[in-house]
Amino acid sequence: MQNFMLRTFGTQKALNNLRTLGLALAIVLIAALVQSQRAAFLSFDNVLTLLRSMVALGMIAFAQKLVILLGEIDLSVGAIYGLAAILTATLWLGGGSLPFTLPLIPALICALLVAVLAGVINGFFTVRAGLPSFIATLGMLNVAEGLQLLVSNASTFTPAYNDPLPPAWELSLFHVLGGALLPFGIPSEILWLVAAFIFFWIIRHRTIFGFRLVAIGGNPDAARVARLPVAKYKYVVFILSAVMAALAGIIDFSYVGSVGPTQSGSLLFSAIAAVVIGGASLNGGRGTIVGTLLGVILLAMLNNGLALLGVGSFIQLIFIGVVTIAAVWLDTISQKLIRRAGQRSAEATT
Amino acid sequence: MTSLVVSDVRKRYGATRALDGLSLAIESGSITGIAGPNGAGKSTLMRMLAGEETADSGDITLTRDGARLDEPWRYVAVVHQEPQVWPNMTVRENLAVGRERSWFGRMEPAKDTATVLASLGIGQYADYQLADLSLAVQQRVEIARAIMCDAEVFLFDEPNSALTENESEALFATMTELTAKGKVVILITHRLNDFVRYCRRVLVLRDGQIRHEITGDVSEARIADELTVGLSVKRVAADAVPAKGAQPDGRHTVALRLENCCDRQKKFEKVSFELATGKVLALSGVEGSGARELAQVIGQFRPANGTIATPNGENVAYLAASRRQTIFHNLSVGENLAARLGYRQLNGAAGLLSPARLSAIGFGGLGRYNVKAQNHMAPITSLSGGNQQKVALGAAIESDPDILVVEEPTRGVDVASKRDIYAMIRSFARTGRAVVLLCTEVPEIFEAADEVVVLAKGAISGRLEITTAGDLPRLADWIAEREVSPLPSP
Repeated sequence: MQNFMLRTFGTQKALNNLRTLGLALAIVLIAALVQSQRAAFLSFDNVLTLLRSMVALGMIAFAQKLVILLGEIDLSVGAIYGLAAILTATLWLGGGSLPFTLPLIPALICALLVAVLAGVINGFFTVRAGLPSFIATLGMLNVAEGLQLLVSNASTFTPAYNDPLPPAWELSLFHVLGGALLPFGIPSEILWLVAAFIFFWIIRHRTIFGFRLVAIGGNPDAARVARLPVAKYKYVVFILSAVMAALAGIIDFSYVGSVGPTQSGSLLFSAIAAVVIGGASLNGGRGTIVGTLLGVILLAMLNNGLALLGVGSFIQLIFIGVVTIAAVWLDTISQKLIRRAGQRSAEATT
Repeated sequence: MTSLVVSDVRKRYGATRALDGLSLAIESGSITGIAGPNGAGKSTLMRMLAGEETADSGDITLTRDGARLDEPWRYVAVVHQEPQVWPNMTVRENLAVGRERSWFGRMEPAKDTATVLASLGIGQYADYQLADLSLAVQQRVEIARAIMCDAEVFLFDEPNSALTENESEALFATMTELTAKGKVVILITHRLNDFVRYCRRVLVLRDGQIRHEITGDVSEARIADELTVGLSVKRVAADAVPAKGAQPDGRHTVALRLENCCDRQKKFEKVSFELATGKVLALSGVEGSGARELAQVIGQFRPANGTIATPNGENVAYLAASRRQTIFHNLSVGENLAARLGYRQLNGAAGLLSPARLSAIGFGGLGRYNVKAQNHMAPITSLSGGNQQKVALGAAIESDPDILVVEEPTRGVDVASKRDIYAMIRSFARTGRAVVLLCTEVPEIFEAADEVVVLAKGAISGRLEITTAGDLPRLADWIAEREVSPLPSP
């Protein structure tokens, strides 16, 4: 009996399993509901659409998950997503306010380096200057949005119809990044989502880095006493977050085929919502990558399903807000119950 | 054989000399105690040994078997009053943090984890999350971490202040085992009794120096003498405080009655007693006995089941133990004094906040509560701990409660302010109010209270008028007896 209680309630792992299960159940339920109304919902094409809509959100949310695991937050991801795409476009195609152009590959590298720099700056103000990451990255959000407009002169870029037209090999290489079709009509963009999931799952669950992130987020003071490299890890996580946002921006640009300034929309808030729905605590130290993935699936499915059902986009917004709050509230309640059961079983062991 | 030598270490913070040429030498083999009043420099010394602080001048050396070890702080492990561990991780994971064995793969702690956990008697908790475990177990996890780090010096900082009697005995058994393994074990505590029982050598720290060393025959009285040089523990002189025990008209009425009161988390059960006006009642009991929780229930700060009756609708003011919870650091002294008041006291004729009334309260409060501050507009943080406590207490008194509940009224307060605070409490009670104190030290009960109620294991184990106890040692014995084993209440 004790062992059963321990396995069911007592460990972090079991607790996560329970939460994951609940979330998966909710997803299945919603899918069944929408499917019963619209047969097209689970068709191959719509599932592809669904997956595609998860790519940028997922890539950003996985990295944001690590930031939140530390008890920090990165509000600049949406803006960096846009900035990276715009920088790639203006550097490669010209037509913005930059006085020079570059071939595709150096342009991509430049865009990613700018993201690294943004991550370093976020890290600097959080770690060294001691600002709350909320403020530091809020500032970065504005800077990056402003830079997008400044660099692009607020114009839109379309590689395939650009004047002068870039070399054909560059166009096809760029297309392969996100827009190329693999067998069965699967866009290459989806591979990035899979890769990002595997990468972050390993980082979080199978490296010292992820293990220590949990420790740092769970008790920063104890982490300092144990002399964990807190500052270094925070830098790395902010850089990772910015680079993932930039990659997502470039890949979406490749898939869509054109880009304009300030296109990130509600990406930032969706990413935070996905992380939190997935069972993370904004205080840090809690949550898994699978949970985040389920959060991403839930949000993407709600958007897609509600659209299929013909609910207007205004109602969609309201609905998603309600679901986010409800999911986290439920999590808080179950957390309390599980904690109490865990305590009881720990007392029973003595 | 390990020895720790600190020679002529100095550390200043602004104008205060936290350590003023401190020297000591401690060898392994037995537990060494360090005693000292608040502000003597104990915590600075501890942080310095642990490498969290660097000395302005002086040397700390650690030698093992004659060889000097570099960076001595690497070998120093501190077991904190509040364990520095990870509540969101399991015991096993806690042991692995910072000493993982590979960069990739599952994080497994070192091979000897199971042995270390078993030797500390917490093997069965290996897969529990720390948040689910008691403070005693969490503390053991911190000790386990220290053992696995090959620490040579173990610093125990008030390690048993929150443990039950059995738990703390087990802890001291562990500490003794560590000394047998040739580790340097240092105990810092306010409980003189523990020095007597477990230490053969006690160093007394005062004003940033080791002022005295007691070896061999360690007795509570000798340590107490050294700690309170120039101060003697006696009841507040009769002329300083009005005669106690009676209201002006000599009557006591019931201010609060508890009947079969149970804590919702079962910290105490079926407690019944009455609280009389005009008296100071002290609650006493080790951590976990339910005394603190009972005080919080009386202070209406904690929910409880059962009857809690105030015959005349008496209102209650509650003051928490930690000043972090009682002082508004962003406000001035005067604003702190007015912080508990409502629109009746603070609003002027226009129905708006009246600066004049506010400053009148602050100005009056400084004098009434004998607060040493530049003026009532000074920031509260510019005051000493003792004066801050007077302000916190004053603010509670300003709100004019019928029942005043104070948890640890003189935590972190110097001896002179203690006197003032006891006088404040006594004179407040004398105006016909009921006062409940949660006390952790017997001298405080002796000096401030009229009556003491002792709790053990969630039930009242005794109630006594202080005057019948006679003197301090006898009161201490009486309380200690009842704190350990619950006796049927008389």
